[in-house]
Amino acid sequence: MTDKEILQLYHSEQGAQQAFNMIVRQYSSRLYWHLREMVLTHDDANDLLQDTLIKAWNALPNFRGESGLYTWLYRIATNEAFTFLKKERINSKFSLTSFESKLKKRLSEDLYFSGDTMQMMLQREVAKLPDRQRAIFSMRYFQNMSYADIGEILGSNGDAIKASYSIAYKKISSNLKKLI
Amino acid sequence: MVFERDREMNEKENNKTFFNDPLEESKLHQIPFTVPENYFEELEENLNARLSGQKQDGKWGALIRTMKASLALAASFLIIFGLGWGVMHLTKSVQKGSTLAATTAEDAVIDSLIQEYGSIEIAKFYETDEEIDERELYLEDEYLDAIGEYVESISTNYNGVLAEDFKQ
Repeated sequence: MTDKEILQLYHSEQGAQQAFNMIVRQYSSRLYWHLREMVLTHDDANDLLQDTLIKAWNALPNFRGESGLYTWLYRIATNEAFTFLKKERINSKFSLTSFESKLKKRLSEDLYFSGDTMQMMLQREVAKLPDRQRAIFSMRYFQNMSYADIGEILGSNGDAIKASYSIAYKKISSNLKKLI
Repeated sequence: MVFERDREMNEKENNKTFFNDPLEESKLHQIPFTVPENYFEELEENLNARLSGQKQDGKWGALIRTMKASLALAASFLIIFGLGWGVMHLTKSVQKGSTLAATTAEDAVIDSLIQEYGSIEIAKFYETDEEIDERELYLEDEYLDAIGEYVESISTNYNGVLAEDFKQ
């Protein structure tokens, strides 16, 4: 079902719930992996995904369709992740362990991590990036999204996103080379 | 044999790429996480359960939700202001009410007295009352003047006696 069809279904009589279920079926997996890459643990990603979809449900009456449904949902999810990470950073200022070491610990203790050593090293390097750069790297490297789409999600232009991705890529690549 | 050589060449090529740029390895592009069993299947049910407890916001709902904090602040200010104004207003009206009640009670007594004795007598009563007061004040002044005169005469006599003594 296309975004247009979902929105038509939403505006039809008694179709709102069905349209929302279609959104969940169609986008929950992609949004989940995007959030998981941002916050690393399943529990946090699950909470944020549910919050994202409920926010989308509440905001759907005001959705004018100026941007695609897909970019709109990604924007909500990314903002949820940024808010969550900001709160985590503030909380970690009051504890003895730094935010980065907290993330590393979460990663090594995660029961749902299925990668090898190299993948673990990559995730640790990605976790060191600033939030915005991490979102850009994750959307481009893992989800193969276009620079234009990432730009629309983050409210920036494609060239700026490309430059930011390039910086993040070089940083991670050089750090990984040192580690191997 | 040819196959073996190809495999070795491929491995060498892979290692070369790996050491040139580790991020080019295709495996690294995969997300190395899994989810609990039936997670995505159960997600829809979980969300519907969460949504059944709440109504979807209308057009103004989202705006109200975003402005919740500001609205709460404004509402509490209005409540405090309203309470303050209410207390002040009530206190004033109670004071006014008590004065009015007293006046009304006095008027009622006067009315009943007028009915019983006639208005002229009552007017006289009030008039007399005021005259008495004035007279009292007048008497008080007279009394004070008399005392003053008495003290003066005493002192004059005393001075006269002293003068006589001095002469002697």
